Amino acid sequence: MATIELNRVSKTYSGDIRAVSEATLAFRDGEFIVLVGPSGCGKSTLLRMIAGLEAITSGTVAIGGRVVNDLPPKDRDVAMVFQNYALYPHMTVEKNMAFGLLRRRKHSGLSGLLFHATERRAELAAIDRKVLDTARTLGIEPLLARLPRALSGGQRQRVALGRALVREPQVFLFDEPLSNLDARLRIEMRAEIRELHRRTKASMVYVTHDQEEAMTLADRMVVMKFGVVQQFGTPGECYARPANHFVAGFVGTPVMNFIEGRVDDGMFVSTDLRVTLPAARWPRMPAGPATLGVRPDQLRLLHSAEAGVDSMDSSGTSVPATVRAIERLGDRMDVAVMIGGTRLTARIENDDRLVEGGSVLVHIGLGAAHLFASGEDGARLADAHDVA
Amino acid sequence: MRSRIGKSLIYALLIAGTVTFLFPLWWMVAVSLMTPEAAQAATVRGGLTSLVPTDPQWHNYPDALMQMGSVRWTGFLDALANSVVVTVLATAGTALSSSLVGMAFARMRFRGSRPMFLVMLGTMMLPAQVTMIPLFILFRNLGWIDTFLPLVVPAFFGNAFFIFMYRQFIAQIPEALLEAARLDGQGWFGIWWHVILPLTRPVTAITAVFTFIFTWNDFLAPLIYLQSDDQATLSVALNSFRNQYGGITKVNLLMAASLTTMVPCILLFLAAQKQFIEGLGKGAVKG
Amino acid sequence: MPVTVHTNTARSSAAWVTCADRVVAILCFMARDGIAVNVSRIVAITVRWTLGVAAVALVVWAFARVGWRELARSRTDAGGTTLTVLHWSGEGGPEEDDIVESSLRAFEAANPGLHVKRINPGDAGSFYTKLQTMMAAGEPPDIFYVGNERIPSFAALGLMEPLDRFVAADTASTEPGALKIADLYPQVVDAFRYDGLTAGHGTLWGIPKDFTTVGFYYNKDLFRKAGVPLPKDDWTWDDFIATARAIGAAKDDAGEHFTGAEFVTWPAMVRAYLFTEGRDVVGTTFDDVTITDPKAMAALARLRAWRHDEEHALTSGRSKIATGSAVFSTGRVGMAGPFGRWVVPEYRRIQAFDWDFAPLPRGSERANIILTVSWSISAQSKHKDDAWKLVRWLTNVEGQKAQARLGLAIPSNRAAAESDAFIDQAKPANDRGFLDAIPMSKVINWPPNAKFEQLLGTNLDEGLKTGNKPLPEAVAAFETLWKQERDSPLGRGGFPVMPWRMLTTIIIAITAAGVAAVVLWFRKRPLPRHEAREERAGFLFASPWIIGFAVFMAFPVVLSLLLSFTSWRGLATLSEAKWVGVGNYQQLLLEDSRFKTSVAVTIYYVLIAVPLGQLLALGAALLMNQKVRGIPFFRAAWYLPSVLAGVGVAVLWRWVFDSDAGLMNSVLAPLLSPFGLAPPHWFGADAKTWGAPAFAIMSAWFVGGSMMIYLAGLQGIPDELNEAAEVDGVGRVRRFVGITLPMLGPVILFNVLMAVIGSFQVFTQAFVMTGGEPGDLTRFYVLYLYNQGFEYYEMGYASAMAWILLAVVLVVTVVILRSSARHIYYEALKK
Repeated sequence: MATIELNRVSKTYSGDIRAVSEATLAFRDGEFIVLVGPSGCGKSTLLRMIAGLEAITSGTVAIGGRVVNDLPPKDRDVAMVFQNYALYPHMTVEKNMAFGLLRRRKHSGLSGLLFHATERRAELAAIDRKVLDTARTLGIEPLLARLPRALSGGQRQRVALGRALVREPQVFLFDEPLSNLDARLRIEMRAEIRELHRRTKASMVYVTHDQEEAMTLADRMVVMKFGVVQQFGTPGECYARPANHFVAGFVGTPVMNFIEGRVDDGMFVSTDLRVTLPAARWPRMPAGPATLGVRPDQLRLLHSAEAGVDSMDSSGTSVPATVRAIERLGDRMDVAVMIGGTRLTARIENDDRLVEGGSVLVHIGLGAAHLFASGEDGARLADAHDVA
Repeated sequence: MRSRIGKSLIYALLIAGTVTFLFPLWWMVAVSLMTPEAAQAATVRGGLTSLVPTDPQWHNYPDALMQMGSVRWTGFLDALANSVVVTVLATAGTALSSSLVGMAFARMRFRGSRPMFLVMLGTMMLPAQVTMIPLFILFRNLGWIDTFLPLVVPAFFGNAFFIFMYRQFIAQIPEALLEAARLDGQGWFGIWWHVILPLTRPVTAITAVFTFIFTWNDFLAPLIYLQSDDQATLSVALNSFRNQYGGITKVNLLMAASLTTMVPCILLFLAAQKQFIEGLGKGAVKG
Repeated sequence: MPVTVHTNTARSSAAWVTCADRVVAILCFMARDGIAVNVSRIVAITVRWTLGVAAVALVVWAFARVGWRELARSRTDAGGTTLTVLHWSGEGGPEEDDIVESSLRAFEAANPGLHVKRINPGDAGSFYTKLQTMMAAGEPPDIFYVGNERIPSFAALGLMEPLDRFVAADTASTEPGALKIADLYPQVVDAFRYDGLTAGHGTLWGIPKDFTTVGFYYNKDLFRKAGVPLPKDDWTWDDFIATARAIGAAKDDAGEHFTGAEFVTWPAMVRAYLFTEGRDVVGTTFDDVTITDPKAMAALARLRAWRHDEEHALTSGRSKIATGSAVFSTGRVGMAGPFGRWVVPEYRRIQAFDWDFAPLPRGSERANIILTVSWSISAQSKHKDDAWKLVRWLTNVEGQKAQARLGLAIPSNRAAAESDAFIDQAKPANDRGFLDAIPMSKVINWPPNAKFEQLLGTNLDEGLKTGNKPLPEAVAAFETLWKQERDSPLGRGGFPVMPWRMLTTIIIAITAAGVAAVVLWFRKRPLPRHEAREERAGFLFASPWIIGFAVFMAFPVVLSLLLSFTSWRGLATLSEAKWVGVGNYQQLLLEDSRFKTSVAVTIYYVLIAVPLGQLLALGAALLMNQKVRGIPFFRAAWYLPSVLAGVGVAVLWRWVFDSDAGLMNSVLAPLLSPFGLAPPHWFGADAKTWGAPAFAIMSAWFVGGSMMIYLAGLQGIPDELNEAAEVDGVGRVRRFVGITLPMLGPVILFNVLMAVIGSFQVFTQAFVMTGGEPGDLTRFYVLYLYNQGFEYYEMGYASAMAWILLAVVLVVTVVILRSSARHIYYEALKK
């Protein structure tokens, strides 16, 4: 169990392609860290640098306080679970699991065979026991004698997990381990991995492109884009207080609604709507372009009957709109509405009165809304909560 | 769902081909069992009539082997032992070195690997006759003449064709497998031994069979490098059935001896052919 | 093994279980686990284990035997002088080998302190290859066989020690065992004299071990049947042809004609034939071609007419089986020759008919030739006096009698020849005929340039044997080529000696500079530790090839490149090489018409063999990819021919393509006859069209390797692709063209490239089967290269040829790669 410290870690490939730039992060001992971001964001590269599979261009990586830049993977005491499982096809499940341990024995060489037969045998027995124990916890004991090609995807994933577990390394690394499984199995395995972490209390670094997986698994998560760390925080922080436009858009489903416009005299003004910004939350906002971000669950849809026909009133938080599309999720529904040319998505309780093409009033709740500097990567503009 | 006619057609082709392909072997067997007179007549005016030996002379086999070399039986036994030693060493050497080099070219980044790889492919185009005399001069200066070294040592330095085959095959092994092995504590050598070698068994089978057959049948190299009578390999010893003018005096014995010396090649091929195909096919590599 | 033992106790104990126990254990295992004990499977396992154990035992035994021998050798490496003897075993086969061996052991016993190491490569061709490599490396045998036809070329190169001083000393000496040259037939001894210009007089270069004169062997039974008189010792060519016609007119019980005679047209025999008309092909200095003399031409025209214008008188050279001597054994040919004594051991096995020997018929005069082999001493031998002792030991009366008893050799020692060792009861009855021809025999004069014989031979082949060129044309071709050969800039000589020392220094300097530059370059650009580590490992792993390339490739290749700019007789040491600049290349590309022929023949072969072979291999692979029962068996059967090789296989193929008796034509004839066609004479009259294709057809038997690679490629194509297309309703043919072929692209490219490279280098089959004949019609590029390097000893010229070949193959490869780049879908090779 160990801490991991990354200090200004960069990775540049030939041709000046920057995969990771200046990542500085500190993971605590026993923490479950998830690296998340769209594909090509550098999360896997970062993981592989921790593993030692990728050379570090600049900066340092320290595991358990020891800088490991120049250590080969085998000396870093890490174990990794790969996306395609990477089970040795010519070895049985048992051999696959024991392989890493056999190498680390004290009496593995010829001298062991000749002069320390007893110790050697004891070591081998210990390995057998360990493999068996681990297999039992993962429920793959009956598969031990099989070859990987005779296993299902889920079983292979378990074996890959077992292979890492049995080594009892300081750090577990996961490189998108669940992305090849079907949805149901993925959720099942997710819970299992979470449970494993609870039990072993080991440091784990987990890479995924699936923000939901990240949110459910992580103690803390690192959101990355184009090789740059966008935010490092708990899932709650990332959701509630995204560092910027990108994080806000990446974390949470359905995706946050963004409305381009400007802040002007305590008002947010876009082509299609004007919203008064509560002064308590955003005191003294300087005028200028900005983006308003509202999560779909902060939108409410009111029927004209309830609110009265007052389409001219746009200073408030209710705006008339047309229903464009309805997606039923069972207990709730996602409704896409158009305010003029602006499309917003609302997640609401089931409401049978809504029909596609009908008109509604949209109530925009600003309690959990955010303002960002304009542009794709615009930083969140500080509000009263930040000070507190 | 294949029609019955299609299936019969396939079998017809397979059987016709088999008859054609096995024919040489059958003819050799037939001639090897003939009396000298019948054998001679068969090679001169046989047509299709000479394919069935009417009165099999089984003693041709011991007779033929006995006559190899200058001392009864010893010549054959020496030649057999020599062939086995040379072939086994050359085969092992070629497979080991070619897979190592193939792994370097397939998996390891080192500057100059690409030009070197191209040069290596280029060496396949070189006719052996070009290097024959210079190599002889080299081996003579090393004091290797009349030893097995010129036949065996070069094999330990890889063979371009097999290196190429290994490279192509190893390049298809998923990277993650190698990375897993590295994390499991293996160095490059460990990866080669524990992961690459087991996974490239089909290539090794091909390499072994090809090299074995080539070395076993090779005539020119042993002829040139070996001198003492008791150092001769089987292919050279067989040549004693040829005469000054390229003719054959004892065709029946020659065939008997030839067939006997081919037995190991045939058996090896039969033993390895499963590996050959199954391994080269799908699935073996893809976890 | 099919059973996986995975419990840990089993694992540790299994190591101690013996093989036999293991078999039993597995059988019990199967029984206990309730697996249906399938008998065939047990048999299979037993067979496999038996074979495995046998193989291991064989290997252990072989290593033990060789190891023990080497140990013993290193211990008994006693002092004294060791003489190396190189010989062949000729027609005598193992028996001759035995005689030389026992004679040498007797010599060792009689001369304590002298050891003899004997090398016998088998046939004469292998012998000369071996001799050449030993000579070139400066490690020649002390004594060796030399055929009298090679005396001029060997003498011109200074390879042999003149023997006159030994002979003179022995003549004066009273020591027992001394060689009295007068005891030998003087005409035979003279065959080894050469004064630098003509054979027959001058310095003595070898002591004849045996000799022969030539004539015709005849089938007495056929003579009787045809009612012709047996030949007398002074019969004429008119008698000969009259007899041949009479026998040719006779028929066997099945109504099939006999053939009058087989007349081989080897250069030496044609010259012997001309001698009987008082003519020869060249004058004594080889500068003047006399074959165009009217009388000589008339004699040749007569011979050609006998062969080609008459039915059944002479075989028309269509039966190219082995030496041509074999056809006599069939009993369907009246006479065969001109042959020397060497066919006797073979003919003594004939039981079906009675036969005898008659000397060469006379023309305008009686004549004959002497063909002989000597023991000669190497000029570089360090023990010449001991070598002489050995030479005279091997040529003494007792040794010669022993050889004579084989029937194969005529002793050069008069007493031995006249003894009952030679004049014996065995056939032929007319042993005297050989001896009586001696007084009228001539020594055939050969020039030092070995190309003379082959130029003569190839052109006579076309004019006389295959008859595909009119005689005057063939003779004119010989005249032009031989003149060209003498007048070529390379032939004139006068080139400076190769500056080896300077070249070596330059090459070492360049190499050192190159290595230094690379090292510096690497030093200048250090890698991060991670990558440096990988690079080091990479070089370590690649080092076998890198070192092997430097030592076993780069060195010989550079040397051969340098040699390609020299004139170097491969028999001499390297220091004798002469610098000729681009002379070799100039000669090849501008002058050498045989080179052009060989290029044309090779390209013809490549154009047929590659498409034929690849189509067949791909077709075979498709067939093997079918899901029907028994495929493993068929696969193995189809591959099997690729496993076979060696002398026996060469004989087999020669027989398959034999025009008269071969299997190929036996099968083709009934198939073609309904269309009014006849199968071709592959290596006979139709060789120009069908010679190269015959080799291509033969190569089709060896498609196993390509088939396997195609099969592997086919099995690598994912089923989904084909299934998807099938669902889409794409037909079988379209699926093949649209999916299978493109997916197979890289494999096809690989196989085609390998086939092209291999086909350009085609050598072995032609070397053992036709030797390039008839004429130059199957003389493939590498075969011609081999001829130049190892028969004419023009190593420089051969090296230049090798480099031209390399350049051509490289260009062809690059063109194929370039032109295929657009059509090849590489996905299959990527991961």
